[in-house]
Amino acid sequence: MDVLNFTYPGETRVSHRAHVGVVGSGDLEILLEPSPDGAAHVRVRTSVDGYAPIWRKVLDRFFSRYKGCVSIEINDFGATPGMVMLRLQQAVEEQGQ
Amino acid sequence: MNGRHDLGPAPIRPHDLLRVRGAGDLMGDEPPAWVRGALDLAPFVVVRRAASAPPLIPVGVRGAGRAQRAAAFIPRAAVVGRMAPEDLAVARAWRTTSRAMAFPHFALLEAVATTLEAAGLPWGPVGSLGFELASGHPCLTQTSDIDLLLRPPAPISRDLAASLCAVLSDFPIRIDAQMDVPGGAVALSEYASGAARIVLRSSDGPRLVTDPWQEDMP
Repeated sequence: MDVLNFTYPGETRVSHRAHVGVVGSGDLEILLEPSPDGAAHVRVRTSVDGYAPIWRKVLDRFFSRYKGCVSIEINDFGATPGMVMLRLQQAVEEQGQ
Repeated sequence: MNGRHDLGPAPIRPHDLLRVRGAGDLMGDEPPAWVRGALDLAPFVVVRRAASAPPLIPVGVRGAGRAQRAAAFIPRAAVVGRMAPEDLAVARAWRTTSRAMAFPHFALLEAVATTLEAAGLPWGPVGSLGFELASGHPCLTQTSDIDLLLRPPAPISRDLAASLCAVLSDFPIRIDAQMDVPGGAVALSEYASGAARIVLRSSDGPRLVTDPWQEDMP
Protein backbone atom coordinates (compact mmCIF):
# COMPACT_ATOMS: atom_id res chain seq x y z
CA MET A 1 0.00 0.00 0.00
CA ASP A 2 1.25 3.46 -0.94
CA VAL A 3 0.46 6.72 0.84
CA LEU A 4 0.99 9.77 -1.33
CA ASN A 5 0.73 13.44 -0.39
CA PHE A 6 0.17 16.37 -2.71
CA THR A 7 -0.30 20.10 -2.16
CA TYR A 8 -1.73 22.66 -4.56
CA PRO A 9 -2.37 26.39 -4.26
CA GLY A 10 -5.95 27.25 -3.29
CA GLU A 11 -7.91 30.44 -3.88
CA THR A 12 -11.53 29.80 -2.90
CA ARG A 13 -12.60 28.96 0.61
CA VAL A 14 -15.05 26.11 1.02
CA SER A 15 -17.34 25.62 3.99
CA HIS A 16 -18.82 22.15 3.68
CA ARG A 17 -17.72 18.56 3.65
CA ALA A 18 -18.50 15.85 1.15
CA HIS A 19 -18.11 12.09 1.18
CA VAL A 20 -18.46 10.22 -2.10
CA GLY A 21 -17.45 6.92 -3.61
CA VAL A 22 -17.36 3.29 -2.73
CA VAL A 23 -14.97 0.93 -0.99
CA GLY A 24 -14.65 -1.59 -3.79
CA SER A 25 -12.49 -2.85 -6.62
CA GLY A 26 -11.82 -0.25 -9.28
CA ASP A 27 -13.40 2.48 -7.21
CA LEU A 28 -12.34 4.95 -4.55
CA GLU A 29 -13.68 6.80 -1.57
CA ILE A 30 -13.18 10.54 -1.21
CA LEU A 31 -13.60 12.64 1.91
CA LEU A 32 -13.40 16.36 1.18
CA GLU A 33 -13.40 19.07 3.85
CA PRO A 34 -12.31 22.67 4.29
CA SER A 35 -8.55 23.06 4.39
CA PRO A 36 -6.97 24.46 7.58
CA ASP A 37 -4.87 26.84 5.47
CA GLY A 38 -4.99 28.56 2.11
CA ALA A 39 -3.86 25.55 0.15
CA ALA A 40 -5.32 22.31 -1.15
CA HIS A 41 -4.00 19.11 0.40
CA VAL A 42 -4.53 15.63 -0.93
CA ARG A 43 -3.60 12.40 0.79
CA VAL A 44 -3.96 9.25 -1.27
CA ARG A 45 -3.94 5.79 0.27
CA THR A 46 -3.86 3.30 -2.54
CA SER A 47 -3.93 -0.47 -2.57
CA VAL A 48 -1.92 -0.47 -5.80
CA ASP A 49 1.74 0.44 -5.44
CA GLY A 50 3.88 2.18 -8.01
CA TYR A 51 1.36 4.62 -9.48
CA ALA A 52 2.62 7.87 -7.93
CA PRO A 53 3.40 9.48 -11.33
CA ILE A 54 -0.14 8.71 -12.57
CA TRP A 55 -1.69 10.20 -9.42
CA ARG A 56 0.45 13.29 -9.87
CA LYS A 57 -0.80 13.65 -13.44
CA VAL A 58 -4.47 13.17 -12.58
CA LEU A 59 -4.36 15.55 -9.61
CA ASP A 60 -2.34 18.17 -11.54
CA ARG A 61 -5.06 18.11 -14.16
CA PHE A 62 -7.86 18.38 -11.62
CA PHE A 63 -6.25 21.26 -9.70
CA SER A 64 -5.38 23.13 -12.88
CA ARG A 65 -9.09 24.04 -12.93
CA TYR A 66 -10.29 23.64 -9.37
CA LYS A 67 -8.97 26.18 -6.86
CA GLY A 68 -10.80 25.30 -3.65
CA CYS A 69 -8.96 25.33 -0.31
CA VAL A 70 -9.74 21.73 0.53
CA SER A 71 -8.30 18.79 2.38
CA ILE A 72 -9.00 15.62 0.47
CA GLU A 73 -8.53 12.08 1.75
CA ILE A 74 -8.64 9.41 -0.92
CA ASN A 75 -8.87 5.68 -0.27
CA ASP A 76 -8.18 4.04 -3.59
CA PHE A 77 -8.93 0.47 -4.59
CA GLY A 78 -7.40 0.43 -8.04
CA ALA A 79 -9.59 3.06 -9.73
CA THR A 80 -8.80 4.16 -13.26
CA PRO A 81 -7.81 7.81 -13.82
CA GLY A 82 -11.24 8.37 -15.40
CA MET A 83 -12.96 7.10 -12.25
CA VAL A 84 -10.72 9.26 -10.05
CA MET A 85 -11.56 12.42 -12.03
CA LEU A 86 -15.28 11.65 -11.93
CA ARG A 87 -15.28 11.07 -8.17
CA LEU A 88 -13.27 14.25 -7.57
CA GLN A 89 -15.80 16.25 -9.60
CA GLN A 90 -18.63 14.57 -7.73
CA ALA A 91 -17.06 15.44 -4.36
CA VAL A 92 -16.60 19.08 -5.34
CA GLU A 93 -20.16 19.35 -6.64
CA GLU A 94 -21.63 17.77 -3.53
CA GLN A 95 -19.58 20.05 -1.33
CA GLY A 96 -21.05 23.03 -3.15
CA GLN A 97 -24.64 21.95 -2.60
CA MET B 1 -13.22 -26.46 -13.37
CA ASN B 2 -10.91 -26.40 -16.34
CA GLY B 3 -12.60 -23.76 -18.46
CA ARG B 4 -13.07 -26.03 -21.45
CA HIS B 5 -16.64 -24.97 -21.95
CA ASP B 6 -18.39 -24.43 -25.22
CA LEU B 7 -18.41 -20.85 -26.37
CA GLY B 8 -22.16 -21.26 -26.71
CA PRO B 9 -24.63 -18.74 -28.05
CA ALA B 10 -24.46 -16.32 -25.11
CA PRO B 11 -22.84 -12.98 -25.83
CA ILE B 12 -19.44 -12.42 -24.30
CA ARG B 13 -19.81 -9.92 -21.46
CA PRO B 14 -17.53 -8.05 -19.07
CA HIS B 15 -16.19 -10.28 -16.27
CA ASP B 16 -16.45 -13.42 -18.40
CA LEU B 17 -13.30 -15.53 -18.13
CA LEU B 18 -11.93 -16.58 -21.47
CA ARG B 19 -9.52 -19.41 -21.97
CA VAL B 20 -6.95 -18.46 -24.57
CA ARG B 21 -4.05 -20.19 -26.25
CA GLY B 22 -1.36 -17.83 -25.06
CA ALA B 23 0.19 -14.40 -25.21
CA GLY B 24 0.74 -14.71 -28.95
CA ASP B 25 -2.95 -14.07 -29.60
CA LEU B 26 -3.05 -10.77 -27.72
CA MET B 27 -3.39 -7.61 -29.73
CA GLY B 28 -2.91 -3.97 -28.83
CA ASP B 29 0.10 -2.30 -27.31
CA GLU B 30 3.12 -4.45 -26.62
CA PRO B 31 2.21 -6.18 -23.34
CA PRO B 32 4.48 -5.97 -20.27
CA ALA B 33 7.12 -8.68 -19.99
CA TRP B 34 5.30 -10.61 -17.24
CA VAL B 35 2.24 -11.27 -19.42
CA ARG B 36 3.69 -14.24 -21.28
CA GLY B 37 4.61 -16.06 -18.09
CA ALA B 38 1.26 -15.28 -16.50
CA LEU B 39 -0.62 -16.77 -19.44
CA ASP B 40 1.68 -19.81 -19.46
CA LEU B 41 0.68 -20.43 -15.84
CA ALA B 42 -3.03 -19.73 -16.31
CA PRO B 43 -4.20 -19.18 -19.90
CA PHE B 44 -7.21 -17.08 -18.91
CA VAL B 45 -8.13 -13.48 -19.51
CA VAL B 46 -10.99 -11.42 -18.12
CA VAL B 47 -13.32 -9.50 -20.41
CA ARG B 48 -13.02 -5.78 -19.70
CA ARG B 49 -15.74 -3.19 -19.93
CA ALA B 50 -14.42 -1.12 -22.82
CA ALA B 51 -15.33 -0.06 -26.31
CA SER B 52 -14.06 -2.36 -29.04
CA ALA B 53 -14.54 -3.31 -32.65
CA PRO B 54 -16.70 -6.49 -32.64
CA PRO B 55 -14.29 -9.26 -33.66
CA LEU B 56 -11.89 -7.99 -31.02
CA ILE B 57 -12.73 -8.51 -27.36
CA PRO B 58 -11.28 -6.13 -24.74
CA VAL B 59 -9.59 -8.23 -22.07
CA GLY B 60 -7.40 -7.87 -19.02
CA VAL B 61 -4.50 -10.10 -18.07
CA ARG B 62 -3.93 -10.79 -14.41
CA GLY B 63 -0.41 -11.34 -13.12
CA ALA B 64 1.00 -11.73 -9.63
CA GLY B 65 -0.06 -9.00 -7.23
CA ARG B 66 -2.33 -6.03 -7.74
CA ALA B 67 0.10 -4.01 -9.81
CA GLN B 68 0.26 -6.64 -12.54
CA ARG B 69 -2.75 -5.94 -14.71
CA ALA B 70 -2.50 -5.45 -18.44
CA ALA B 71 -5.15 -4.40 -20.94
CA ALA B 72 -5.24 -6.00 -24.37
CA PHE B 73 -7.58 -7.19 -27.08
CA ILE B 74 -8.11 -10.69 -28.34
CA PRO B 75 -9.80 -11.90 -31.53
CA ARG B 76 -12.91 -13.96 -30.91
CA ALA B 77 -11.38 -16.79 -32.94
CA ALA B 78 -8.54 -17.10 -30.42
CA VAL B 79 -10.93 -17.84 -27.56
CA VAL B 80 -11.02 -21.56 -26.80
CA GLY B 81 -13.33 -21.51 -23.79
CA ARG B 82 -15.60 -19.18 -21.89
CA MET B 83 -16.95 -19.17 -18.39
CA ALA B 84 -19.35 -16.51 -17.14
CA PRO B 85 -19.35 -15.68 -13.42
CA GLU B 86 -22.84 -17.15 -13.06
CA ASP B 87 -21.60 -20.44 -14.55
CA LEU B 88 -19.28 -20.74 -11.56
CA ALA B 89 -22.20 -20.19 -9.19
CA VAL B 90 -24.51 -22.61 -10.99
CA ALA B 91 -21.76 -25.26 -10.92
CA ARG B 92 -21.02 -24.53 -7.23
CA ALA B 93 -17.39 -24.46 -8.33
CA TRP B 94 -16.16 -23.66 -4.79
CA ARG B 95 -17.24 -27.04 -3.47
CA THR B 96 -14.50 -28.85 -5.34
CA THR B 97 -11.55 -26.52 -4.90
CA SER B 98 -8.50 -27.96 -3.18
CA ARG B 99 -7.89 -24.71 -1.30
CA ALA B 100 -11.21 -24.66 0.58
CA MET B 101 -9.48 -25.47 3.87
CA ALA B 102 -6.96 -22.65 3.48
CA PHE B 103 -9.42 -19.89 2.57
CA PRO B 104 -12.80 -19.26 4.21
CA HIS B 105 -13.90 -17.41 1.06
CA PHE B 106 -15.01 -20.58 -0.64
CA ALA B 107 -17.30 -21.80 2.12
CA LEU B 108 -18.82 -18.32 2.42
CA LEU B 109 -19.95 -18.53 -1.19
CA GLU B 110 -22.40 -21.16 -0.02
CA ALA B 111 -24.11 -18.55 2.18
CA VAL B 112 -23.82 -15.93 -0.56
CA ALA B 113 -25.62 -18.31 -2.91
CA THR B 114 -28.43 -18.84 -0.41
CA THR B 115 -28.89 -15.10 0.12
CA LEU B 116 -28.84 -14.06 -3.51
CA GLU B 117 -30.77 -16.97 -4.91
CA ALA B 118 -33.53 -16.45 -2.33
CA ALA B 119 -33.86 -12.96 -3.82
CA GLY B 120 -34.04 -14.44 -7.32
CA LEU B 121 -30.77 -12.89 -8.42
CA PRO B 122 -28.37 -14.60 -10.82
CA TRP B 123 -24.85 -13.95 -9.56
CA GLY B 124 -21.29 -15.13 -9.72
CA PRO B 125 -17.88 -14.67 -8.13
CA VAL B 126 -15.50 -12.34 -9.97
CA GLY B 127 -12.09 -10.82 -9.20
CA SER B 128 -9.39 -13.07 -7.80
CA LEU B 129 -11.94 -15.53 -6.43
CA GLY B 130 -13.67 -15.97 -9.78
CA PHE B 131 -10.35 -16.20 -11.56
CA GLU B 132 -9.10 -18.90 -9.24
CA LEU B 133 -12.31 -20.91 -9.53
CA ALA B 134 -12.34 -20.71 -13.32
CA SER B 135 -8.65 -21.30 -13.94
CA GLY B 136 -7.60 -23.45 -10.99
CA HIS B 137 -4.65 -21.11 -10.62
CA PRO B 138 -4.17 -19.96 -7.00
CA CYS B 139 -4.55 -16.19 -6.75
CA LEU B 140 -6.63 -15.61 -3.64
CA THR B 141 -4.72 -14.25 -0.67
CA GLN B 142 -5.75 -13.95 2.96
CA THR B 143 -6.50 -10.27 2.38
CA SER B 144 -8.65 -10.83 -0.72
CA ASP B 145 -12.20 -9.51 -0.70
CA ILE B 146 -15.05 -11.53 -2.06
CA ASP B 147 -15.92 -9.83 -5.35
CA LEU B 148 -19.41 -10.59 -6.64
CA LEU B 149 -21.34 -9.72 -9.75
CA LEU B 150 -25.15 -9.64 -9.64
CA ARG B 151 -27.10 -9.90 -12.85
CA PRO B 152 -30.73 -9.06 -12.04
CA PRO B 153 -33.09 -10.07 -14.85
CA ALA B 154 -35.23 -7.01 -14.06
CA PRO B 155 -34.70 -3.80 -12.09
CA ILE B 156 -34.43 -4.27 -8.33
CA SER B 157 -35.41 -1.61 -5.81
CA ARG B 158 -32.98 0.34 -3.70
CA ASP B 159 -34.69 -1.17 -0.67
CA LEU B 160 -33.91 -4.70 -1.80
CA ALA B 161 -30.34 -3.65 -2.58
CA ALA B 162 -30.04 -2.17 0.90
CA SER B 163 -31.33 -5.30 2.59
CA LEU B 164 -28.91 -7.45 0.56
CA CYS B 165 -26.04 -5.15 1.52
CA ALA B 166 -27.05 -5.43 5.17
CA VAL B 167 -26.89 -9.22 5.00
CA LEU B 168 -23.64 -9.31 3.01
CA SER B 169 -21.91 -6.78 5.26
CA ASP B 170 -22.35 -9.15 8.22
CA PHE B 171 -20.14 -11.74 6.58
CA PRO B 172 -16.68 -12.13 8.13
CA ILE B 173 -14.93 -11.30 4.85
CA ARG B 174 -15.56 -8.01 3.06
CA ILE B 175 -17.89 -8.44 0.11
CA ASP B 176 -17.68 -6.13 -2.88
CA ALA B 177 -20.76 -6.54 -5.03
CA GLN B 178 -21.35 -4.99 -8.42
CA MET B 179 -24.67 -5.13 -10.21
CA ASP B 180 -25.18 -5.31 -13.94
CA VAL B 181 -27.67 -2.79 -15.34
CA PRO B 182 -28.58 -2.28 -19.01
CA GLY B 183 -25.92 0.39 -19.59
CA GLY B 184 -23.09 -1.18 -17.61
CA ALA B 185 -22.65 -1.85 -13.90
CA VAL B 186 -23.00 -0.05 -10.57
CA ALA B 187 -21.77 -0.78 -7.06
CA LEU B 188 -24.59 -2.45 -5.14
CA SER B 189 -23.70 -0.48 -2.01
CA GLU B 190 -23.83 2.86 -3.82
CA TYR B 191 -27.18 2.02 -5.40
CA ALA B 192 -28.43 0.96 -1.96
CA SER B 193 -27.10 4.11 -0.28
CA GLY B 194 -29.84 6.26 -1.76
CA ALA B 195 -27.26 8.73 -3.14
CA ALA B 196 -28.86 11.11 -5.63
CA ARG B 197 -26.25 10.33 -8.25
CA ILE B 198 -24.22 7.17 -8.54
CA VAL B 199 -21.45 6.01 -10.83
CA LEU B 200 -22.39 3.88 -13.80
CA ARG B 201 -19.46 2.02 -15.28
CA SER B 202 -20.17 1.86 -18.99
CA SER B 203 -18.08 0.74 -21.92
CA ASP B 204 -17.46 4.44 -22.60
CA GLY B 205 -16.07 4.93 -19.12
CA PRO B 206 -17.68 5.91 -15.81
CA ARG B 207 -20.38 8.56 -15.51
CA LEU B 208 -22.83 9.83 -12.91
CA VAL B 209 -26.48 8.86 -13.28
CA THR B 210 -29.60 9.31 -11.19
CA ASP B 211 -31.37 6.09 -12.16
CA PRO B 212 -29.10 3.35 -13.53
CA TRP B 213 -32.08 1.39 -14.85
CA GLN B 214 -33.05 4.26 -17.14
CA GLU B 215 -29.69 4.44 -18.88
CA ASP B 216 -29.57 2.91 -22.33
CA MET B 217 -27.57 -0.04 -23.45
CA PRO B 218 -24.14 1.03 -24.70
